[in-house]
Parts: sequence; structure tokens; C-alpha cells
Amino acid sequence: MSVQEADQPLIQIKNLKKYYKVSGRELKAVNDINLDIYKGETIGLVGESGCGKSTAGKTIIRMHEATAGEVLFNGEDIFKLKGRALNKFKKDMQIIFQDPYSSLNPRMTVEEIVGEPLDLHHIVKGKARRDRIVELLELVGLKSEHFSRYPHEFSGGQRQRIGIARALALNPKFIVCDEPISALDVSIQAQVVNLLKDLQDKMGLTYLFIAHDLSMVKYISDRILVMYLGNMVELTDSDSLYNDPLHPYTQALLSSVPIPDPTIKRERIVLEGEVPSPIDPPSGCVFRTRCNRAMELCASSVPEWREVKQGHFTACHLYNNA
Amino acid sequence: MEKLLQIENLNVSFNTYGGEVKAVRGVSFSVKKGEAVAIVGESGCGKSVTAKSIMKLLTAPPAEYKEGKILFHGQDLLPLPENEMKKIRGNKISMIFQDPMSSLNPTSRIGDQLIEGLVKHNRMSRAIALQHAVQLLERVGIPHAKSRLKHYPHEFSGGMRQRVMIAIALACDPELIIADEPTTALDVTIQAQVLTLMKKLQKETNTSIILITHDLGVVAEVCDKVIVMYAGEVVESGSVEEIFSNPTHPYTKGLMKSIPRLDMDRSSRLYSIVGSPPDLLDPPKGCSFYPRCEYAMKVCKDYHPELELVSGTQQSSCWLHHPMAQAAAAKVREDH
Repeated sequence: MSVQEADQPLIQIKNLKKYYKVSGRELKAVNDINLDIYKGETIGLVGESGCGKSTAGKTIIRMHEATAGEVLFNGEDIFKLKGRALNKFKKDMQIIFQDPYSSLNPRMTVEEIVGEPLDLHHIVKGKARRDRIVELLELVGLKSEHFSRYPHEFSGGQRQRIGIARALALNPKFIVCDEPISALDVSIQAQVVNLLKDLQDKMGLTYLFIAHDLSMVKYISDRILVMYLGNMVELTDSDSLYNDPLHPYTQALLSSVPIPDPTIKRERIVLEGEVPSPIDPPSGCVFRTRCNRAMELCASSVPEWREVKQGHFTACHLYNNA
Repeated sequence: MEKLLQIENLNVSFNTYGGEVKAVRGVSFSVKKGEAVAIVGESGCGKSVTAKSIMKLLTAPPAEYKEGKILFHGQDLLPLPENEMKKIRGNKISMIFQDPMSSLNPTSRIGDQLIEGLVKHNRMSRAIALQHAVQLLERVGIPHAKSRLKHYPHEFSGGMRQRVMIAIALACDPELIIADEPTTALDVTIQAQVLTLMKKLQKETNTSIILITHDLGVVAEVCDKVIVMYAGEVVESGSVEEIFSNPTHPYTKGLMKSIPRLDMDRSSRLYSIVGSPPDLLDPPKGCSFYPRCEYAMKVCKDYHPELELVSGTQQSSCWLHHPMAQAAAAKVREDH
């Protein structure tokens, strides 16, 4: 489904903030995220380590409590939900974690891992439960004979499939994929990404796909949001982001990706230095300390988030008059 | 060019409760002076074991060097006693590990870790070694080098820690640096910085590099030669240009096709090599890639293909190169 076809967004994120107190000071891990996610869409979320992308993903599904802002799921503010309503909502949102080695309990069998959400939410019991687990395993390309095995008996790719089966157990509508392929080999990454795409087609899932591998994000996402130091930097559809990146940070990020072709020699924009500490972010535009096009204005004023081209948003002073 | 390192028919096994895991099986390759050689392959293909064997860093037992030679300047390292090996390690050959968080000593200052090799191998005094260490940190692009010597690893970011690792590896002007996934734990922007630095330093010092990685993009940017490993064996090798422009082994072809590229068509499915690598407790009798190969023939199941020269400097071990398999090979060419 294209973005235009859906009228009301499945998820509306409004001024989402997540701050932490670190030695009495404020660490702005996620600073003012605004985003609409439509049903059946995949939103890619990219940025360097520590830019707040995982925190943002986890705050959206209320794994972390937000400091401020709203997340509307089908028009309902999820941060206000309590008790039964909260439990019901939790069924609709799931997460797949980065590391398939540490996100599965080594002492639980596949049956217990995949069955746990079914038990917690009292979905099915007895033979129906067993059938459902087998169905889920087959859905993610595992076999019924894997039922009573332990995580250590599986390879990384298979473990990630177990994690996906667990996430699918409750028929969720929205799944946060938190770097689900970063820990896998290239040949296995493709298997998992293909699986995620098939499941999306089959079940009408909506994904927030967090990653730092830009080529894979481009492949799987409809739209991509780039984050830097807790802030939104650029948002547009996947092709425009790669063909026409506006923000200097996005440009540098794209030019850092090694090209698997020895015949191509290119001028690379190598970002100097490292991401500043989020406890003490630069004034004005947070990227200005590493930006090759920084101006005086960038130190004094925070660039506004604006739609520079149709459906193409960025926060950069270079595009003030565009 | 002079051959700095030559590995001949290396076989390394691990003795486990389950039996003997044949992790490296008959690996041979050479590294010339000033050359950057990449070893690529999936997890568990034996690339790290090969690298650690060169430094003799595997704990034996359970590891066992079954067969083969590792010739460094013509001298076989495998029979060398530990005290002789110590003179080479960190001095003539040094290593950069994947995870800079866990491979630096968290309780020791960066300065002390930097000068350890200099004091031990070059018999430098502490004071002179520390002066040398400042230059090393400056060379790898760490600002305020002098004051940074007193800092502990946790006070550095991931990229900076990897720079410190590189500085330690460079300390004694080694002839060979083995870098085991040096940028895998880093962000792309920092990876770009580290790769640029490694290339620059290699040009300056004419050091040879063995780069172990699964990122073929990194290989294309940094290396001269590629060795593709699968299930403990070398299945294809050649210059970067040869391997990238004309991969001949079905596994190499598969690897090349499964690389995510920025210019991928979003409507097509991603290519993936079906299945997973074989169990090295009981490796297949014939070609080890046979169970996953699209072009497998009868002969592949029972007979092991040998590495043979296919063109230029490119070697490949596949029955498709046999004169009797021309019809099948023509079909493979059609597909690609």
C-alpha cells in the first residue's frame, strides 16, 4: 500500500521526548520526534550509535516511559492507557531485537519462548497452543521438530527466526525491528529480510526498521528517517533520500558506505571527529561541529524542521530560503 | 615482490566432546611485502582460526595444528617454542582485534598498553617509549595525544579505541598486521575514518596487511588480493579486480549477489544462499559447498575439487572448471 492511499495514520508520534538524568544533568536521548506511520508501511530509522534510534523505537511501543509527547495508536494515546486497555494494546505492538544470542533465554525451549506471549495473554491452551506454536514456527521457516530444542542448538539466522516467531505470536499490527540483521552474516541477512518482507505482505504488518546498514534500510523501507544526537535530521521516501540527500549529515552518511566494486573510485566525505556527548550537545544545530558547510547562523539558531520538497523534510539552515 | 608470509596446507582442528572439529582444512596462500590480502567468508568458515594460527594464539589443547607450514621469511612458525614466538608476536607480526572494547585491558592506562611492546621488544626505557607513544597516537589521529596517554580505555569512544589498537599494533613497526574484523563494531562514518587511516598508514610504512572481514565493500576499498573461505577451505582466490569482476566459484558468486547495495531494486527479492554451512565435525566428503550449490553435479557429492588456476592469478576449486563440465559451466555463465 502506498502512503497516499491510507488516510489515517496507524501511529502518530507527536513531540516525543525521552530524557535521562545523568549525574544531575539532562541527557536528551530523543528530542522532539514527530512522525506519522501508515498501515502496511516500513519506516527506516538510521543514525550512528547513540543517536537515540533504539530509544526512540522502544519509547514508541512504551518499553520505556516517555518524558513528554504523545504516541497515538489508531487515534488513542498509548501513554494514557492502563490495566486491561494497556494489555490489549501490548498485543498489537511487538519488537524484534538485535542480538539473537542474548535476546532468547538459553534455559527455555523454543516452545516456551514462542509460547510465552500466548500464555501471558491467555490466548490458547493445550493442543490449540501447540498447534499455534507449530504454525508460527512454520511461518518463519522453522520446522515442527524444532519445537523442544534450546536456543544454543540453532544458528544465528535461525535464532532470529525464533525471535520473529515470538514477535508474531499475538498477531501484532506494528513491529519495531531493532537492528534485526546487524549480527548476521551477509548471506543470512538476505534470508531474514526476505522473510520480514513476506510476512509484511501476508499479514499487513507495519514496521519501524532500525538499522545502521544503509543499503539494507533503503531496500526494505518506504520512507526513511535520519537521526543525529536525538534529533530528526531528514525524512523522505527511500529513493529520494538516496538520490537527493539534502542534509549534509545524510550526504556524509551515504558517502561513508563502502561500495563493493573496486573499479569505482570516489571522493568520500569523511566526517571529522565523533558524535558529541548528548549531555552537552552543541548550541544551535547539533550537527554543526562536524558539518563541512556550517555557517555562523548554525551556532546560534536551531534549524527548523521544514518540508523543502514535497514529502521531503529536513532541518538545516541551508534550505531556509528554498 | 618478496613473499613475506607463506601458508602451506594448514590444517587446524579442535578436539571437543563431540569429536574433532576440522576448522581449517588444507589452507594455502601467500602474502607479499606491502600487500593487503583479504580473507572473506561467513562466520565459522575458519578465517579467524587461520589468522590466529599465524600468531599461534590458539589455546592448544583444544586446538591442534595437525599439518602444514606457516613460513614467515621462510622460517616455519609452527614448530617454534613459545619464547621464540614471543619475539615475533607484537614485534614482527601484530594483530588488531574486532572488538576494541574487550581487547584493551580496562584496568591499565593507554600509555602503558602502548609501550608494553616497545619496552619488551626494543628494550626502550619507559621515558623514551612514552615519547614514542605520543607520536604513535598522533599518527593515528588522536588529538591531545600527550594527555591521552594517562587515560583508561573506557574514557575513549569506540572509534578512538580502535585507533589506539592500531597504534599498539604499529608500535614496533611490524612487517605484517593481521586485522580481524577491525571495523565491524564501528559505525559507518567511523569505519570510513578508520579505513582511510589504515590505507594511509599502509602506504607510508609498506606494511603487509591480512584483513579478515565479511564486508565485501571494505575489501573492495582496501585490499589487493582476496581469499574466499568456506567451511575451513579456500574455495577461490585472486586479485580484487578478478574476484569482483569475474567470480568463478558458485559460493563467491552467491556472496557477491547477496551483498546489499545502495542501488538495489526495491521490488525484486534479495538474493540469499539457501541453507547454512556444513557441520565441521563431519565435513562433506566431496565439495563442501555441494549441499547449498545451485549448480551441483553428481561428481560434487563424492569427489573433492582441488584449487586450480582459472585465469591470471585467480584460483578456484570447483568441478565446473573441469573440461568434462563445459555444458554445465556454459549454463552458469548464462545465468550471470
